[in-house]
Amino acid sequence: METTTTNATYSLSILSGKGGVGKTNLALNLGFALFKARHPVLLMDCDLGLANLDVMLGLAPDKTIQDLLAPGVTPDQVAVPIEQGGFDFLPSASGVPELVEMDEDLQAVLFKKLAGVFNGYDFLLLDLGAGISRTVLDFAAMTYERIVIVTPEPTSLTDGYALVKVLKTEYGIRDFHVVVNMAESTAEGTKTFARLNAACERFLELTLNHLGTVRTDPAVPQSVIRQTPLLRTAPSSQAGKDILSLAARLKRRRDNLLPELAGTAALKNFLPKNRE
Amino acid sequence: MAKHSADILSGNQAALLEELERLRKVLSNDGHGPSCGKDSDSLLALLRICPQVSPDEWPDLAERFGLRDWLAVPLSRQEFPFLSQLQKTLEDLSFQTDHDPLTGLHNRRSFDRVLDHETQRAIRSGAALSLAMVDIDNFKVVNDTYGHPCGDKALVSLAGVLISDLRRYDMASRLGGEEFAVILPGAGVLKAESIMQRVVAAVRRLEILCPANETFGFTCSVGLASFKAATRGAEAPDLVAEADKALYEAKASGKDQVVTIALTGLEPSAKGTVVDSDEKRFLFTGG
Repeated sequence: METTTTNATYSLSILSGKGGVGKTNLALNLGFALFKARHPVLLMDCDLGLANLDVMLGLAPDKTIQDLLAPGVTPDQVAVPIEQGGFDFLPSASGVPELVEMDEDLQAVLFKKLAGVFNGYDFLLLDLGAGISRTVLDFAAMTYERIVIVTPEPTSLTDGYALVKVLKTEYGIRDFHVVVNMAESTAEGTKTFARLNAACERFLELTLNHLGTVRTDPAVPQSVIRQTPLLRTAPSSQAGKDILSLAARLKRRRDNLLPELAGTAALKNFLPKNRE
Repeated sequence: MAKHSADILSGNQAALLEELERLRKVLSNDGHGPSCGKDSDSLLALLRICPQVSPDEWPDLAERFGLRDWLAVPLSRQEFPFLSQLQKTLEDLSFQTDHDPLTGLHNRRSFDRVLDHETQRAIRSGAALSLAMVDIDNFKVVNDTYGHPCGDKALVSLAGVLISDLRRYDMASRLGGEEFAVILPGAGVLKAESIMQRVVAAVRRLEILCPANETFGFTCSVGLASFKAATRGAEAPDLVAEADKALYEAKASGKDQVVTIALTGLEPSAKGTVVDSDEKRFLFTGG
């Protein structure tokens, strides 16, 4: 896809095979952390499901992405600020999930317009639905990298593995970050990652990257009830510190990736049959 | 040119016909047949005013004396009836290129084209598509026992069932002989099967009346192939081959029935099937 300005946006999909692993909360807090580290962040809700981020935060969009096709509609009318000054949000109600279902020609036009929106952000975080629906897979293939969230619980591990497997076999994707959420301890997180990674190495011949572990913490459910990001209320909680170090790693990674990012688009319009 | 004793031509009409006949002889002597569509630099169209013959009389004359390759243009004030007649002729011709003359169903040519389009559409949109091959059972016996005109009646009756018992956007074709095909866009296994079961039952109930006042019935076998693309850009299946396989099964299993083959690519919606038992065991136990 052509870009008129040099791309400096690092796009990441956040996905989980299984629901209820804390993916959305993690996406929100990662975004918050990066924003606090002075990086403009756009969080996109790509999930058609019910318990969405916009409901959680009480935000509603003015316009949908399709409205961008009309003259005079500017990106700030579509994105909703979570925090003033650079932490914005594209709710699913703005038509994000439908992007992958659209007719290809329309998709191409919209992506071009969206490129103008993405330009202003250092990080583009896509909060995808749980599972392996076509929408999830298509979006996951469009970002520069992917973060798979698992918990130490065996079914979460299996579903995470299924996700990696399908993305590898159907889209040829070989690079995955893994975050182990809700771990009892760092050690448990490491062990969980090792198990998943071993399975991937053995059956899929690919190696995962352990981005980090986030430990369980009563502060997390508390922040959800209060409808406010954990990092705003309890940044020095165990979970808070873990998320901050995840964000630090992503920030460092982006710095290292800038030359490569320049040669690509923020979101690749990438469907299986277009694979090179 | 022989005079038809049963029809009396007016003197004017006779004169005109003789003239046309002479012209035709002249042209054929020169090796020019009245064929259209040949590329030629020296192509001539002759216009001759004929006050003797009215536009109403011409079609009948043309029919009787084989003058259909002459295009008659009425030069009166009322050109609309002619235009609409011309239009109707074009429509009839157009219809004939795509339809079977006996049953009025689509022909093979049309079927191939539509199947190709619908298959592409199904792959792009992820919608389902079904194809049914319908074949009359023991049709040779029908023809041998009751004669071909009767056999034709059976074909026409079957076509009637297909037209009335399918949805408006399903497409029924006669591929040849006693073989028919039905394209069912958007219909998955269950829907397509129930539609074709209905057709088979309706065919079973048909009674064909033959000239010798005999009535007979017949049955048909149906091979049904149903397809739903799992990924956009999936491979196009050979629905005709699959439906034929199913039809063969139906014939071999006693006829008068529907046999279905469901085609799906890898469908990752069932998560359980993505991870096999080896992988699961490893993830659970580490070994």
